[in-house]
Amino acid sequence: MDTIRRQSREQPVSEFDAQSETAEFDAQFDRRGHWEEPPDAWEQPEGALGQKQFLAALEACLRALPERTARVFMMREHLGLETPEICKELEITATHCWVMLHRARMSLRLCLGKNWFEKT
Amino acid sequence: MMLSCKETIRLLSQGADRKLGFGERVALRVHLAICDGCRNVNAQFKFLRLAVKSLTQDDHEEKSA
Repeated sequence: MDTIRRQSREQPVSEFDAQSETAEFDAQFDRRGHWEEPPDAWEQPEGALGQKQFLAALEACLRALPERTARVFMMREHLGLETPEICKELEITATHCWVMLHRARMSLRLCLGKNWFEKT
Repeated sequence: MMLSCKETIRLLSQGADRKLGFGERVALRVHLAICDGCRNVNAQFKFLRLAVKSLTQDDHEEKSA
């Protein structure tokens, strides 16, 4: 936690993360904002939870996120901090925080889909 | 108000991080009722949350598969 905080101070979050991520994100939708390909359900995802290999896949997907996006996501989901705390700590707006959290979820969804659920 | 899928999943995500307004909740429910793709993503987001929490517990711990 201290490491996370220190890193955040040294590298203030002032701009949105990588454009490439945005392109991948936008490619999922048509111009009207509807799915290009509606996502399928993951089959029995609960079964993956206890599996060491799945957790390794999840960690790999987390490492693949842009550093700042991963930091905000882990502060929220791993440490369970509330968004106002995260915003304050990282000196970012609530809107920016939500955008980053949403991007993290969308990236992880694609990554896990590709690296785990579509393989098994 | 009819939400697009893109707007719907953005609200789904924000619903995990802030309290949605009444209008937002209604629009979300209406969309989810008619859209399989967004319902699937909703389930995936919930699972992600669970998975990251289970990572907390299993962190630095050897587990037999």
